[in-house]
Amino acid sequence: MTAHEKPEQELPDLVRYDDQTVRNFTLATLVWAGVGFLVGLVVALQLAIPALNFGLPWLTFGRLRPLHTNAVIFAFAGNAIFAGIYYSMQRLLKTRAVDGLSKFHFWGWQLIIVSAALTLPFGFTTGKEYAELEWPIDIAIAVVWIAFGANMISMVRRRREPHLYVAIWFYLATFATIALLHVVNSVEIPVSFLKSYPVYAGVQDALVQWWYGHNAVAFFLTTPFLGLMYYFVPKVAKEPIYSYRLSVVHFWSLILIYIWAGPHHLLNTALPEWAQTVGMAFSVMLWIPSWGGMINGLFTVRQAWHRVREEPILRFFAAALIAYGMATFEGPLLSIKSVSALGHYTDWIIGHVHGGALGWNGFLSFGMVYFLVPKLWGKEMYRKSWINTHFWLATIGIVLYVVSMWVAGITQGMMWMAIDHASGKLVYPDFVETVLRIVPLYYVRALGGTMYLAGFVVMAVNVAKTIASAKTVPADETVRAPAIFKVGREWFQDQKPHRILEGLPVALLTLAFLGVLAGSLIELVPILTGAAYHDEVTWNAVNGAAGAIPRTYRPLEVAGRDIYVREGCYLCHSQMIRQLPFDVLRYGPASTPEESMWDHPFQWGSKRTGPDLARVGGKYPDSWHYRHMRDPRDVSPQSIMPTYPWLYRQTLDFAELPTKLRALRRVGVPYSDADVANAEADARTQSGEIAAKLASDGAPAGTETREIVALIAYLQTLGKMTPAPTKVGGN
Amino acid sequence: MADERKVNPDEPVHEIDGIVELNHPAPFWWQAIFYASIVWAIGYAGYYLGGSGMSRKEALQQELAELAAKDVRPNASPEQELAELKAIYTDPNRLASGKAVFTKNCASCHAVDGGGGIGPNLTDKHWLHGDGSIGAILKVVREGVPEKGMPPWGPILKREEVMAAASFVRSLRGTTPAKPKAPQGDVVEPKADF
Ligand code: HEC
Ligand code: HEC
Repeated sequence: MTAHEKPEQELPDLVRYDDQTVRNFTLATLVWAGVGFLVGLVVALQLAIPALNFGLPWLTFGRLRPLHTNAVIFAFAGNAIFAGIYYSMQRLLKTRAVDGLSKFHFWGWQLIIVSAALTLPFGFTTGKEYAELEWPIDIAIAVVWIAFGANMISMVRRRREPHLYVAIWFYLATFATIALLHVVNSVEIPVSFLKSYPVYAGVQDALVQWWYGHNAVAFFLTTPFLGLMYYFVPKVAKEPIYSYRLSVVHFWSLILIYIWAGPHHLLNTALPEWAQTVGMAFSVMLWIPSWGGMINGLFTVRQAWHRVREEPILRFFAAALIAYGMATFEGPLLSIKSVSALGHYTDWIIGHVHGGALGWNGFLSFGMVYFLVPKLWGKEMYRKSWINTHFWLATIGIVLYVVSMWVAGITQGMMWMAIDHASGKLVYPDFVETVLRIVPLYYVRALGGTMYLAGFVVMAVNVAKTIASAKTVPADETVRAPAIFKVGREWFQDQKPHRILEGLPVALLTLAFLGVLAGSLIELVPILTGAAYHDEVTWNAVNGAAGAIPRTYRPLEVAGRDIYVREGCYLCHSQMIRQLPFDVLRYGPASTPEESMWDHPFQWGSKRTGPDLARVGGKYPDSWHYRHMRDPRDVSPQSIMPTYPWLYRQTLDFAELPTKLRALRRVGVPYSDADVANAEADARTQSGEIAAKLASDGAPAGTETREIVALIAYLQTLGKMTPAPTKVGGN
Repeated sequence: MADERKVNPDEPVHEIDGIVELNHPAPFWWQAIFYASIVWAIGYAGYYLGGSGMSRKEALQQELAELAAKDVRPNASPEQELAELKAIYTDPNRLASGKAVFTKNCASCHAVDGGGGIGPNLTDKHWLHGDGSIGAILKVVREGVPEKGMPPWGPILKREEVMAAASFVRSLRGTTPAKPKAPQGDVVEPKADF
């Protein structure tokens, strides 16, 4: 039944694999890993030492953090996935990838990464985490992604093996789901060449974004890596895969459950509670399917346990699988509402992500590169012992990183939660006190990151030396293979149902896509059709909280909001007071969905390095913000917030405000024609008023044209867009 | 047709590109936890989606009501509060704790020595709110002037902390700060003081 029953020399076809594409992606993996890790270390240090923001816009935390996340996810992990997929898929199918598509895919992807690096630090961002790239780049991503998918589909249709191996199921599911996620989450209306507003707002944007964000982790950092695991682990261990049956069960359960889990990023928020409940229930069910992959991998490695000691690549793989298992246990744990109440917005989440990213994605990629480089360049690794050095540096680095972030997150979370029993008041009402407590741990984290980076440098040198020692690039690997496989009627006999599916790749792809689509629709549609706003009304009426349609932002406030997005304030500040007593005591009445219903994009945030800002409007006079934004330490002596001196130099573009209002109107904000026509004049009036007030409090004259005035105007609206909510919780 | 379940799990079931697949059954504990988690998830979601569970919003209302109940000020009459303030004012230790509260929460706007900055100078005889008496100070500290950027501290700090801070502010009167802010408000003499 299989090709291997015939002696090799009798096979009719000669297949030459495209190894150059694999080489290209492998080198790109290393280059971008270096960039991504380095930027990560910089942002880690900035949190400990705010002076490292240097008062320069393109070096400031809020702009570098998206660069870091995009570089490590889409550039480092992305290129690693592609390298591994092109290597394994050609061999598993005994067919060559389509040369034109492979080249287009490789260069297109690098171009996207370069354009990310050239836009993010300069403030061109959509303000949606892990989807920050602006609309022209979004289109490019979609096109290149489709080329990648077309290449895979072409390969499976020209395959010389009857069945698809489990790795390829994972690759195909990755392709289909990422396409769906990216397209749905990126629907946006352009304002100018590098500025757009998403069509979704507030709670709807939040749900779509975290449906996307969570599944980017699932289908970019999990499923393709599981595919790579299924190929490279048995190759290196030289042992059989433990259980085919387990791979069937955990593949389908994983993808069909994963797609539902997004709302666990929004627990206790203004997201309608049914969606939170569903998100939590599916997240808990996700634990065991995830562990299915881990045990299949670990039990495969276990058969060669004695070799883990002498084979450092295998050690990387074993550690990667353990990290995967830990992260996929921690994830469901953090999805429990009460655990989320403690962990959300803290560094615990950062620790959780890095356990997965550094351990699972990093180690699997490193192991794969160490396996591929000798094969692709025809030379053994320059120093095998250095692989060991790399392993230990990176392992200790991860431990320092993850443990310090656990301690920091749990410490700070408990301080935020602490309520004095006798008085019913917060024990630590001063936010900065909770920050200062964890700053020492930021140094520990930076040390861990430095070690991980050092390990990577060892690897990079090792690879560079190996390649340098290979005088010529070897010819593409060529094998004898059977003829291209055609499904015939007789083939169906004697096949079990899932084996049949493995012989019908397009059906498998379609089935996976439909499963994922169904889950997405059931979860997203009720909220996208506005149901979120309806059930709030009763509650608001009872509690006297906001509950009314908010006013729209005035043009100057729109400009200020765009600055807030551009500077990445949302990466340190949430705008979402959760329905938890300690959040209410600290920040005021819980946020309602209406309050952000004109917010394109939503800015609920996911991390509170600084305090929540949902009700900061009116808390301080304009002059406080004026001094604070120029140098936070001037009013809050030990703050770790960056300085924003350029906002005091850069002038506002009043003339583009009508265009912005028009774009916002197109996505549903009810601006009238008069609003649009008066936009510029209204903004000038408002900025004049604020500047006059600032001047009377001692600021220099002439601030009315500066960006800072717009930002202050925006900050003062926060929590003030609806009629004043009556205090819930205060006295 | 061979049933894969009866096949020896150590016999390869497939082979592709040199990778062999065995067919061990999934570990029992793995299956058990998987089924248990599904049963639990259905129960949990059913309980809350079916309306039996208390919603977070309802729970929040209860939690806040309990906290608010703890925070009732003892039904102190203005006279009793004044006596309490006086007791703090005349006790150097308790006044020092007032200074600590001030340094931590107020100095960013009023300067450490009360000389003023974003907020007014608290050492001079000029007052925007009230007459500068300790009772008037307590009122403005507790209730704030939110529209002018003075936060209400009653909801944030503990009752003793607010009273200690107010007493400390009263003690600043007539001191000489390093960088006094220009006076705001009218010159007034405290009336109902001690
Ligand atoms: C590196 C993280 C970080 C970034 C980025 C950041 N902040 Fe902050 N922010 C803080 C911290 C920490 C505090 C608390 C200490 C303080 O008041 O400075 C804070 C406090 C604030 C406060 C006072 C909140 C209150 O209730 O007292 C405001 C307003 C604020 N930030 C606005 C902004 C704006 C606007 C931006 C973007 C231009 C921004 N922040 C970017 C960390 C950050
Ligand atoms: C965010 C800045 C800010 C902080 C922090 C702050 N204040 Fe104020 N405070 C102000 C402003 C602004 C005013 C003036 C309000 C007005 O113009 O009506 C004020 C007014 C006052 C007044 C009344 C002064 C007068 O002339 O009537 C007192 C007393 C006072 N603050 C005490 C405190 C104390 C005690 C604390 C700390 C527990 C504190 N403030 C913290 C900004 C602040």
